[in-house]
Amino acid sequence: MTYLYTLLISVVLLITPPKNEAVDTVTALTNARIVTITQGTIENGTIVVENGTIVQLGTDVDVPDGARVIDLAGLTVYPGMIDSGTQMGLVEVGSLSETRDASELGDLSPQMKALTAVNPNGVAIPVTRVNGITTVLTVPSGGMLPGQAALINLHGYTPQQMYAGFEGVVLQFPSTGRRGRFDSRSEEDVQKAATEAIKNLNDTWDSAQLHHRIDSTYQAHPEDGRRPEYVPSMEALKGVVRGEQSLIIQVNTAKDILAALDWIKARDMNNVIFSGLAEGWRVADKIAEAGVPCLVGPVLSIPTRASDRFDKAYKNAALMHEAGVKIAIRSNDTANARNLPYHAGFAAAYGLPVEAALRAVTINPAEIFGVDDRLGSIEVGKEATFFVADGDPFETSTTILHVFIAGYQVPMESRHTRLYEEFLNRNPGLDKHNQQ
Amino acid sequence: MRINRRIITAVLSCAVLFGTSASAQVNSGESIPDVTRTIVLTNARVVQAPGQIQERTNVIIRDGLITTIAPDAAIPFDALEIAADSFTVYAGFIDGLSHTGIPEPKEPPNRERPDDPAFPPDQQAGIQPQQDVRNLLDPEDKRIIAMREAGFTAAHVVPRGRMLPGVGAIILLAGDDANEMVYRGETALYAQLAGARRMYPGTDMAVLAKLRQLYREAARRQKIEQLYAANPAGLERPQYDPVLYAMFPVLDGDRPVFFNTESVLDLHRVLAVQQELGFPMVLTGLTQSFDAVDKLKSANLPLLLTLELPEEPEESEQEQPSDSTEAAPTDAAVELPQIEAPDYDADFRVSSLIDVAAEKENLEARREIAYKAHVGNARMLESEGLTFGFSTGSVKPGEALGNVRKMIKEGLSEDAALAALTTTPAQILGLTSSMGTVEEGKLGNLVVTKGSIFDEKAEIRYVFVDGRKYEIEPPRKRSSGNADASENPAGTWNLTISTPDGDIGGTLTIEGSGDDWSGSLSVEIEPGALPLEYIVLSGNELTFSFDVPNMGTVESSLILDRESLSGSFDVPGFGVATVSGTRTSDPEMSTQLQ
Repeated sequence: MTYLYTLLISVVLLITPPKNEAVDTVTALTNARIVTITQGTIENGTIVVENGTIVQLGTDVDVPDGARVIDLAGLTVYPGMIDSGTQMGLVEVGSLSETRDASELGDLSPQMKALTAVNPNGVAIPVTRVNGITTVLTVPSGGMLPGQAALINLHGYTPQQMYAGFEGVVLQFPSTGRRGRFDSRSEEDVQKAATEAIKNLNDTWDSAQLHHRIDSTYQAHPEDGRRPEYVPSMEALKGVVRGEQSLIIQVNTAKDILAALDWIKARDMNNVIFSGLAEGWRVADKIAEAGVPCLVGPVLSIPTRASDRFDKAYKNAALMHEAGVKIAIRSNDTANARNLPYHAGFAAAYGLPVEAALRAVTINPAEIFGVDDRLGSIEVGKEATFFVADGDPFETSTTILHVFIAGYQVPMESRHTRLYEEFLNRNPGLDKHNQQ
Repeated sequence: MRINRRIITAVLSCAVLFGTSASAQVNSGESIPDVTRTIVLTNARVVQAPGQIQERTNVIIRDGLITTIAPDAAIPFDALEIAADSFTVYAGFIDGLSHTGIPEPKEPPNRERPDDPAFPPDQQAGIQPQQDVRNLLDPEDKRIIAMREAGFTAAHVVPRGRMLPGVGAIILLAGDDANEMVYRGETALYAQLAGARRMYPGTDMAVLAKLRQLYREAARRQKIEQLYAANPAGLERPQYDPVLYAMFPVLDGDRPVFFNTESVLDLHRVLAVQQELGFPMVLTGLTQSFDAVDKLKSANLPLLLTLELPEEPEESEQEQPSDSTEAAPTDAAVELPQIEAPDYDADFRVSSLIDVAAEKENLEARREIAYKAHVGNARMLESEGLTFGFSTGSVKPGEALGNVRKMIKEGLSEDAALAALTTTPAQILGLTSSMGTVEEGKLGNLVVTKGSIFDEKAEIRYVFVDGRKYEIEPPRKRSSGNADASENPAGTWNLTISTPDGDIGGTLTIEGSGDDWSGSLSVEIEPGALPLEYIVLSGNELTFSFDVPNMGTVESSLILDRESLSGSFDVPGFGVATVSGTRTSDPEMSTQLQ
């Protein structure tokens, strides 16, 4: 019996992440100010979490017996922030090629899934999540079709545990202009390269559509014909061509945005998300008209042209929001993805309504990625993915006190806190009694 | 591949330097994978074989083979459909002989002088009949793509070298590795009258003597081999000799010698040695066969005529007015040179410097005759009833088809030209059952053109090799200054200057006439008008420069086209900005109206 009991305990220990609170505990967070995003702000409210899901929410909630109660008097609960563009888990140290897994050789590798390359033990993951960012889109880079971006929760021991339910094919839209002021190619070469790049994209897409057509016909009547060729890259584009998967088009300059809009219009695509959009404000009305959701950022950046006002990058999100574009904000960073709230904060300081800025890092990306049934706001039935702050998270002086991801209360520890503790009261080694 | 990788590495390091937002926007020219091996050309005009044309028919290529040619052939579900309504489909060209796929060595092979130049090792003397071209193929040789873009789908290739460079193979002009390209190996032994440098055999006579010697020695050795194979008891072991052993298939009559000849003298010599020794032979090159037609007729050997032509005399039109071109080659072709250029006097001599011009003219007339004879060579062979295929030899692939067109202009029939590019080489190389015509069951080697292939304006649109589609980009017209055009830049122009920082508007004002121009430019970002300096109009190209404060002197070159212009501003330390513009006012027009 004792043996069995020990075994049971050890099994439970094995299953349960040792540092975290178990999911199956009922937790109640009381006396909190709850910014639900979708259902207004609840003062003095209570959230009851069971099995990783929010089961009760409001001011008159009966805390179940035996629940662990966390009193949050004077504190505010926000839904976990979503960063719509990082290379989290793919890049550890940018200058060490051994730790860069974000890009694959070649132009055409849409079958490469970023999720498979995510390192759950990346140092940037705890650094990011203790700042209230619970979910990020991790995006591969490289050629024209570098692979598939994945939405991941910043908690878990395997990429599969981290997976947050969205994968999108990334398209680096061919740049039609010069690459910068140091681009000294002749005008003819620029034109030629642009024409070739667009042609290459169109040829690839024609191929993908042909592949989809052949595949569909075969799947409908497999007995009538022979099995089509297996082409991994085209197989990976099938979902996008059929409109079942999103295509994330990375595009920045105004000219390229217009070209991309024309392209998706000509191809009659409505499963497209734009990402980047450094010059989105120039053509915001066109984007709004097309109804393409946009992952905008980084906000903390400089203007794209020397003639622009200094604050154009800060205002970009606000101007696009004003024009009616659905926006989510991205940091386009990895080591400093923890700055996402300050990107949103700057956008708010430069004209984006605070509520819109909050939505741009919570419910908007959740909706764009189709995971708003579980993430993006604090609602009964959604995953318990939120954080507790002692003030406005867009302010750098605010401290984040607790972070919950899918019900797991993650430790508020990171490389930053460890370094802080190590060097705060360091023992210079003079006390010889402590030494061996 | 190596280049691709280098580009990608460069791009990656850029991305690291400038942060991840500096995205990789370089296309590495890697090909898009084929999603199907079934391709249908619909409603095409198909030239199945020379003179055998089928209008508006579907051609289905499946798994590398032509499976169906029928007007109402059902299109398979997994087919890539190409509407070929305005296209003509020909059988893919077959190159009779060349070094396609064998890159030219960057440095000449080791020229070390042998100990005894009279008896050099075979390798150094250029005698390597055991060398197999299949081991030398490089699928990245640029000539492969160039040949394919010229319409060639298969080639008979032989190694480079001197007297006996080695054994040839038939290759398809597509494939990622050498083995994939090889269609058939051990096709022929290549031979040429090219002596070794500074050692025996160094002269044509030596080469021919050495060939005789090798041939006889090989025959003797073969007999010994046979004896020894039958019963080795009591016989001394014959020693292995790769050179002699490589000659055995030629002795048996199983492997023809493809003998290259250039001058007519070569031709006579080679024919003599072949008749003496009796090996199977295909004559190639034949640059001067117009002087040996009777000999060729009696020899009755397969012929591969080079597509190489001498450089066209530049002033031929001035020297030879209309009458020479009208002198249509109707009579016996052997007398062609005399008919075409009666004003060449072989005995013409000048006595003093004053008459040098006359001698020059006379020599130019002679050059013209020689040129006409070379271009008319194919026509002469045809009119004498000799069948021949074409070989590209060392001709630039881009000029191959142009040279065929020149020959057609000189009277070669289009059917004979097409046969020489398709059916005849197929016959000579023993490929008739798989290549040379557009027929069901043959390899999917096709050339798809817009317009008739021998028309000057014809464009090759697709080339299919082994059922793989290669789309050929039609050459793009580039706009450049035309000194003969006349444009008047005077007036006011609205400019759009495209820079990496976005478009900038501007107004260009030009006044004056003839060689005397003045003008100014005002740009959105700069207050005031910038005066233009050094304004030069040459034809339709207007060039000038102007100083921009804090930037320096901008050089400008604009091409005018009546009411619009396009061109570039070269800004120091910045790069080139494109400029386009339209005319808003025209002083001439307004004065005319008044």
